Amino acid sequence: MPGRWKKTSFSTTIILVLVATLLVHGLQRSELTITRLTDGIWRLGDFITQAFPPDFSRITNILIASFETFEIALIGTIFGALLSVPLGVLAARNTTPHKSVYFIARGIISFLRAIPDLVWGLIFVVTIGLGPAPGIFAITVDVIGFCGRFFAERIEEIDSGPMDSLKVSGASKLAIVTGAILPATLPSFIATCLFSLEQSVRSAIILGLVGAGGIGVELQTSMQLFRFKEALTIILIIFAIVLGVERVSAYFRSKII
Amino acid sequence: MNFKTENLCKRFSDGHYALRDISFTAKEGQSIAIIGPNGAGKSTLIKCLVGLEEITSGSISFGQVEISNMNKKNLRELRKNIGFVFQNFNLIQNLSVFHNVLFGTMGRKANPLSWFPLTASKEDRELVMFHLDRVGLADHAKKRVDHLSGGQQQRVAIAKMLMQKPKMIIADEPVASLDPKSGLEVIELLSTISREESLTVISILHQLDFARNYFDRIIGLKKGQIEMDKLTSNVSKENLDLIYSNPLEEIIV
Repeated sequence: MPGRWKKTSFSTTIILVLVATLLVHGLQRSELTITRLTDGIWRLGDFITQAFPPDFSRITNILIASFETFEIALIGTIFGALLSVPLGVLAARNTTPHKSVYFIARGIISFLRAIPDLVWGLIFVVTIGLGPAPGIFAITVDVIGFCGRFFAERIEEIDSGPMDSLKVSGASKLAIVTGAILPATLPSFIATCLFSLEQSVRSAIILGLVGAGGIGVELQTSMQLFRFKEALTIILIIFAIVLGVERVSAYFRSKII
Repeated sequence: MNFKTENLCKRFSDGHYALRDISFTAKEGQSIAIIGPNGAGKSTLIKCLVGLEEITSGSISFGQVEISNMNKKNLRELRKNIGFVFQNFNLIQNLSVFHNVLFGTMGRKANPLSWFPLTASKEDRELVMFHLDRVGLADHAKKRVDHLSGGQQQRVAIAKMLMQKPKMIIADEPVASLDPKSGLEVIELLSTISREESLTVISILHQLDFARNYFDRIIGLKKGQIEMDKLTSNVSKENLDLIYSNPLEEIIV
């Protein structure tokens, strides 16, 4: 019978020690104590008490801002997804015209994905100014990083048969992309876009906190002015938007896939 | 379209010769079945014929055009005249029969508007229905391809290939993944098309009875070389035994 304990390898031991050290160091730096935790819970209770009942007096403005958030997410996702298609074709091994193009396209996707959406939001607020436009740009860039990678990987997975079929009939590269790659990958692309839209709605809310328009701006203002009843209304509406988009997206994805 | 290969050789990077000194001529309107055991070089030969594999030496000519040193642009032009039928149909499963057949114009027509049912010309739309009628599937035009049987899908692939208006047909085991009845229907269809339009047909086949009944000539490949090249009427059981190392009865079963 094998023993209950197996001797760990040297590399596993090093990794475990490293993770434990980072955990202890992180907890020390965050000054997370039981007292602070219990105080926090009491304050959360205070916030909830002060926030109830929610204040719906500015509901029209809040709904308009919510709609703006949804529009920022939708427009950013559509722009990002459209730009991801050619980038995905260039970043897939089986469709890229040249190895150097493949590496450049993959590099662009990795770069866009590596920088978080909030950072893109800050950059575009500084360069473009406040309002929905920097939010749309930030989401577009974020979606390219996400969809570009998924599109390229999906293209690499497709059966080469339909592509060969068009190639031997003398079809151009554009025809091969249109007649073999896009039809075979479209359901998966749409499912990825819907998933991306869910993420974009969440991002658009957060982006508002850095001035990129939408309901995030309203939430930040309410919290800073201690209008907690209004803040609760906004939080409830955010919950309804995120849940609604998730449900609708999940329904369509199940229909497509 | 006349067709000729001379001393065709294909050697892979590992030094292995898949084809050695393959020379044969196909006259316009002639149908040729290429038979042989697995690993004989049949698929490599077919791929070399359409430029999907580069040849090591020798030459391939379609009509007066030699393709061995052809650039990509000219090769594309030549391919527009060659209809290729695949073993696995190679259709887009989630699109309609009509749309798949319309994609057959992609080689001939550079304008993207002609590739979609919504924007294609009336002439092309009618041509799709004409070819679907020809392969007996006009009633299935609106169905998705993945709702059809294997035999029906191969007939859709043939209709798509006909949209090219080919001068020659090359088929890579067109009935290998079909049941005997569907296989017979597909071979009969290819034979009829070849006869009606005087098209040269070169097809890899494993079914010797199909080769004997529907093709003018049989070429037997073995270990990358032509072991036999005869008119079907002159092919004997002994000839076939020479190609397949095992007794013929076992192969047919």
